[in-house]
Amino acid sequence: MRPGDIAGLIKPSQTLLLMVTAYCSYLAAGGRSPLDVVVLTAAEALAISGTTAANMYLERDIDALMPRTSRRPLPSGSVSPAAAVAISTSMFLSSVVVASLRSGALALTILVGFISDILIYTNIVKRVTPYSVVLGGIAGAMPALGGWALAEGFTPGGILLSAVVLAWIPMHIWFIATYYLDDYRMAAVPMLPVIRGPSYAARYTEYSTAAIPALAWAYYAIEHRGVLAAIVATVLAAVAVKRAEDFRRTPSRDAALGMFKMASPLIAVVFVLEAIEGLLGLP
Amino acid sequence: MARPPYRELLAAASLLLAAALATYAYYPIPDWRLLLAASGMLAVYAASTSVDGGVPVSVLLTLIAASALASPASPAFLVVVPLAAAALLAAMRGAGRPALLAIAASAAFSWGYPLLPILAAAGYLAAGGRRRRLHELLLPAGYLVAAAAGYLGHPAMAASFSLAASAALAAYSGRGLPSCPFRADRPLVAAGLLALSIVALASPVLPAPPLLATSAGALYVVVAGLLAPVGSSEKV
Repeated sequence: MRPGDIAGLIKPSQTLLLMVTAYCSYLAAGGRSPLDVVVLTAAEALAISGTTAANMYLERDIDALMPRTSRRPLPSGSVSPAAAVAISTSMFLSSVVVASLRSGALALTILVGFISDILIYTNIVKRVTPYSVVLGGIAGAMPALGGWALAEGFTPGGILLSAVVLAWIPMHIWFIATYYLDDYRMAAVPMLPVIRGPSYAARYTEYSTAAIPALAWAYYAIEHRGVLAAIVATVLAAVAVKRAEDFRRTPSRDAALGMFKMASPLIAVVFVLEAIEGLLGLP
Repeated sequence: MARPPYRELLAAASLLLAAALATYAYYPIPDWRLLLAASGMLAVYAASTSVDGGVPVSVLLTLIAASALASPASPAFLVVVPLAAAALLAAMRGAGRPALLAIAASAAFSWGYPLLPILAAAGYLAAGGRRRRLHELLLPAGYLVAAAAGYLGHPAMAASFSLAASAALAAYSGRGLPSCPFRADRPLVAAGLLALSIVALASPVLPAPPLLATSAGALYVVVAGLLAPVGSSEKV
């Protein structure tokens, strides 16, 4: 087993994006402790990686059926199932130990993330309902909530920031599912674009994307900071909704890929701005 | 997909409720009784998937599950309710050895009555016959340690060993859920059991927050293994 195989098991780019939301939430909440940052880094990196590896382990049958994922470490055989279980379990439980030694609230978000992603999404709803990402998305929102909770506990500001991630996830998931529609159809995974069609799914992403600026403005109203982030979120969400509407009228694989590529920068920019405004004490 | 029988829904719900109880045991206020209730729900899973019988058995198992769920907020003397249900279950024709698992279910959350886990463990050993695998002995051993810790006034240790023993009970005695979209995944269950065992052994020295949080996390791994989707194959 090479280091590259382990990297393939834990999806470093996805882990990094979610960690950005955790750091930014922590800074936006007023957190400044270097020790907190160390704990947040270790706990979130281990938690997200471990949960991702557990997800890959439980979905290795699906991954083997789809050309896009068939070269992943488990279906390709470069990592054995037993090794994947050992890696995922040790990472996840280590994250719980590290987080709980510092902050009960941070550890709780890690536990809830695992419940949402593994027990609810992967084990139960993903193979049953096309709306699975709505429940599974809770896991993606947990790093943002964890970062905030580490600094300030469970207060409305943190819940709103994590809800921004939750609202962003349908755009992130359903457009890539649209791009690889045949793969998901082949594996009989009932994603919304497969069951109801790409246009129908795009309509839902318009609603969820439109919720992002609403949540950003609500955050500003409650916390009295983050106006720049709210303005940028409004502009970017408007562009995304316009492009989603264009896609809905004339769906194409290229347009779906373009929407997917737009999703990650959108969330990253909004969270970085929230962090900067929190850090500098800007309104 | 055919609608799963009630008994299998009860089994799956018991596992998810065990996970929820373990989480609540950790946050916001550490509470060992909730961990004991979680171990009771695990034993209900084991009994639900292995005890034969019709509606009366389902009713009794539901009663035991409800008692386990309510046990942290119930007066201690109400332990007689699940005990009576388990005794009725054991007396039923054809229930046999698995019915004793239901007694273990009632015993697992009988905080304040440490004699009951000893009885459950003895019953398990007596009912098992001669052929026995080594790991099966870990289960009664876990209950015995939990009972001893309870007598000696170590609630954290008692709850940790009770949880590990009940998870082993669920893993080794449950027959799975053939009509539900789940199957037991051995590597994941084994990893979770190993983690729960390590946490239990470390319980005398671990502070409460990491002990409870890691207990919950390890339990999630066991539950994830017991509720693994049918499609995921160990051969892939």
